[in-house]
Amino acid sequence: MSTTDRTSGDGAEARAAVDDAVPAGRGIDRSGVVISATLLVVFVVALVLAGDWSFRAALTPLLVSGTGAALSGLYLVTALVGRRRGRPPSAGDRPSSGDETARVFREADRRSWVSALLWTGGFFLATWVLGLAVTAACFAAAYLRVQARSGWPACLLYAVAIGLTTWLLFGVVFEIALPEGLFG
Amino acid sequence: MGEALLSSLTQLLQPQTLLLMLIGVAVGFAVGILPGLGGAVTLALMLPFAVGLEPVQAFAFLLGMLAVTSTAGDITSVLFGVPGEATSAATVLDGHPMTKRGEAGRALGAVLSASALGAAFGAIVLVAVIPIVRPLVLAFGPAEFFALTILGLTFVVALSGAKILRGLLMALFGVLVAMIGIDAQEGVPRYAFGELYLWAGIPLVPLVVGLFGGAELLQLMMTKGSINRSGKAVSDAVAAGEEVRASGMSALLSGVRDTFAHWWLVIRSGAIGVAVGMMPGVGGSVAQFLAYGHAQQTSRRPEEFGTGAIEGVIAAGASNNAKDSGALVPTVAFGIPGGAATAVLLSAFLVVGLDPGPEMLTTDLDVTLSMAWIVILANVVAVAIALLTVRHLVKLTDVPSTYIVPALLVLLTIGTYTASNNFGDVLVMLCAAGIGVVCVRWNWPRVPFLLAVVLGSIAERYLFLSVSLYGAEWLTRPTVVVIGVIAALALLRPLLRRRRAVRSATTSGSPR
Repeated sequence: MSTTDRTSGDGAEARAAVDDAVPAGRGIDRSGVVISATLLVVFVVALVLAGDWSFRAALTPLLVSGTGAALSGLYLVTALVGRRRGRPPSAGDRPSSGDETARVFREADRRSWVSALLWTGGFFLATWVLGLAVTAACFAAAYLRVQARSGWPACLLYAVAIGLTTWLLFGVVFEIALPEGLFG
Repeated sequence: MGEALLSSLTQLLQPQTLLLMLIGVAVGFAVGILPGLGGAVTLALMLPFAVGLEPVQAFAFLLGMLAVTSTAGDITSVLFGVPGEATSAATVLDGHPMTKRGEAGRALGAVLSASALGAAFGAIVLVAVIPIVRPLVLAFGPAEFFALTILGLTFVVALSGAKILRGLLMALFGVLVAMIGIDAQEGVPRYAFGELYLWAGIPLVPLVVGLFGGAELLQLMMTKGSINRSGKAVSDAVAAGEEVRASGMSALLSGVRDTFAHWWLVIRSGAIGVAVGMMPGVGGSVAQFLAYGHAQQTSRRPEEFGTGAIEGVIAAGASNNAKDSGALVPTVAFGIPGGAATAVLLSAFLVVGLDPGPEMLTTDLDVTLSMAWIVILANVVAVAIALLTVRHLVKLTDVPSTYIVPALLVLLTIGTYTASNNFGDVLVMLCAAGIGVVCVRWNWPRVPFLLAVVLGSIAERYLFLSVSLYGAEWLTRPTVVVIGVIAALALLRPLLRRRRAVRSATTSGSPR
C-alpha cells in the first residue's frame, strides 16, 4: 500500500504538521498547479454539462462539480502564489521515504519512465492488434531479452509458458473471453 | 445465530468453496512474502475472478487471500528486515534482531502462531458484535445511511494527513466519476458523451485494477532487480534460512510455545487490533505499533524491546491479523471500509450483488458469518503452510521483477477485460492506472477517489430517498445531526492540530 493510501494516524500527520511549521519559501508547487488546473477544467466542464439536465438528474452533479470547481480553484491559487502551508513548495511532490513505489517514481530518471511507459503502451497496443495470448508470448520474449538480458532459451521457454498458460488456463479451462485482436 | 453460524460453516466447507479459499490463501501467501505487491493491489487484481461466483465463494477467495497477506508479510519482516506488507512493519523491530542472533525459527514460530490466534480472536469479536450492531443498523433509515456514507468519505479524506484539500478534491472527483452513466431517477445519460459503453457507468473492476495495479507494475518495471534487492538482506536471509534449516521444527515450536505462554498479551494485542481496525480510515500499521508500544509498556523487561524481545514479536503478530476482522465490522454493517484493502473488498460486495448494511446482518447474515470462518480457517491454513515451508520460502524473494512483469501485465489485462469483454474496459483501466501513478508520484491520495466512486451512486440514492421521504427535515434528524457533527470534527481536527503545531514551532523557533 502506498503512503498516499495510508490513512494513518500513526503520527505521520503530526510530523507533516511539524514539517509544515518550517517557514516555506515562496515558490510555485508545479505539480499542484498542473493537477489542480486539470481538476478545475474537469469540474467546470462537468458543471456546464449538468446545467442542461433536469433538476433531479443534475442535483448531485451540480453540487459535486460546483464544490469541486471552487476547491480546485482555491488549491490552484494557493499553489500558484506558493503560500501553501502544506510544505515547502519543492517538497510538495515528495512522498515520505517509507513508500517504496513513491521512492522509485521519485528517483527514476526520464529514460526509465519513457522505457516503462513505452513497454506498457506497446503491450496494450499489441494486445489490441494481435490478441492477448500472442502478445503475452511475444512481449515476454522481447521484454526478458531486452530488459533482463536473459539468454534466448530462457526467453523462449518463458514466452511459450506464458502464452500457453494464458491460452490454455484462461481461454480453454476457465473459458474466459480473452482479447482476440483485430484478426481474431 | 447458532444456526446461521453452522449454516455459514457448512457453506464454506463445500468442496468448491474450500478450494477457492485455498487458492486465495496460496495467492495471498505469495503476495505477502513478496514485498511490493500489497494486499489491496492483489485484491484489486483478483477482483475480476469473483465475478459470477456465489457470495460465500467470492469472499472465501478474496477474504482468504487478504487475511493471510499480513501473516505472510511477517515472515519477510523477521527474515530480511523488509516488511512484506506495510502492516507488518512493527514485526521488524524485534523479529529481525532475533534473526540476527540466530533465533529466526523461534521468532517465526512466535509471530505465525500469534497471527493465527489474533485472527481467531478478531473473528470471534466480529461474530460477537453482530447482535449489538444489528439493532443499531436496523434503526437507521436512508437519511442516516446517507450521513454515514458521507462520514466514511470524511474519515478517509480527513486522514489523508496534512493534505486534506487534496483528499477532498480526489473524493469529489470520484463522486463525479460515479455519476457517469444513466441516471437512476430520470433515465438521463450523464457525462456519457454519446458513447454507449459509458451508459452503464464506469465499471468498477477495471477502475480498481488500474488504480492500484498500474503503479505497482510501473514500479516493478523501473526497479528491474530482484524483489529482495539489498545484498545485506540476501545474506541475512541466507543466514536465517540456514538457522531454520539447522534447528528445524524445534525452533519453530519453541516460538509457538512462547506465544501460548504469553496468551494474555495475545488477547490484549488482538483487542487493540480489533479496536483500531473498526475505526474507519485508520491504517493497519497503526494497530501493530500501538500493540507493540503497549507490550513494551507492560513488559517486565522493556529495555529488551528493539533488540529481539519475543513479546514485541507476539504483540505485533497478534494485532496485525485481528485488525482485519475489526475492519470488517464497519465495512459489513455500514459500508464504511477501514482502509484501502477493505475499500477494494467493498467493491467485491457490489460485484457479487450484495449491499453492505442492514441486509448483511439479516437476510445475508450467513455470508457475514462465513467471513469470520474464512478469516479463521485461512489463517490456520496459512500458518500451517508457513511452518512447513518456511525454509524454502527464503528463495522466493530472489525472483527478478523482470520475470514478474509479463505475468502481471497478462493478469491486469484478463482481470480488466472480463468485466464486460470490451476493450473499453482496458482503456478505463489504463486511465485509472494513469490516475494511480500521478497520485503516487505526486502524493495525492487514491483511496478517497476509489471510495467516492464506490459510494457515490449509493450516496446519491440515499439522498434522493431522504429528500423524497422527509423533505428538508431529514437534515434535522438527531442521528444525522450527530453524524454531521462527527464528520465536521473529523475534518477540523487535523486542521486544528496543524495550526497548533505551526504555532508551537513558531514559538520554539523565535528568539528568546
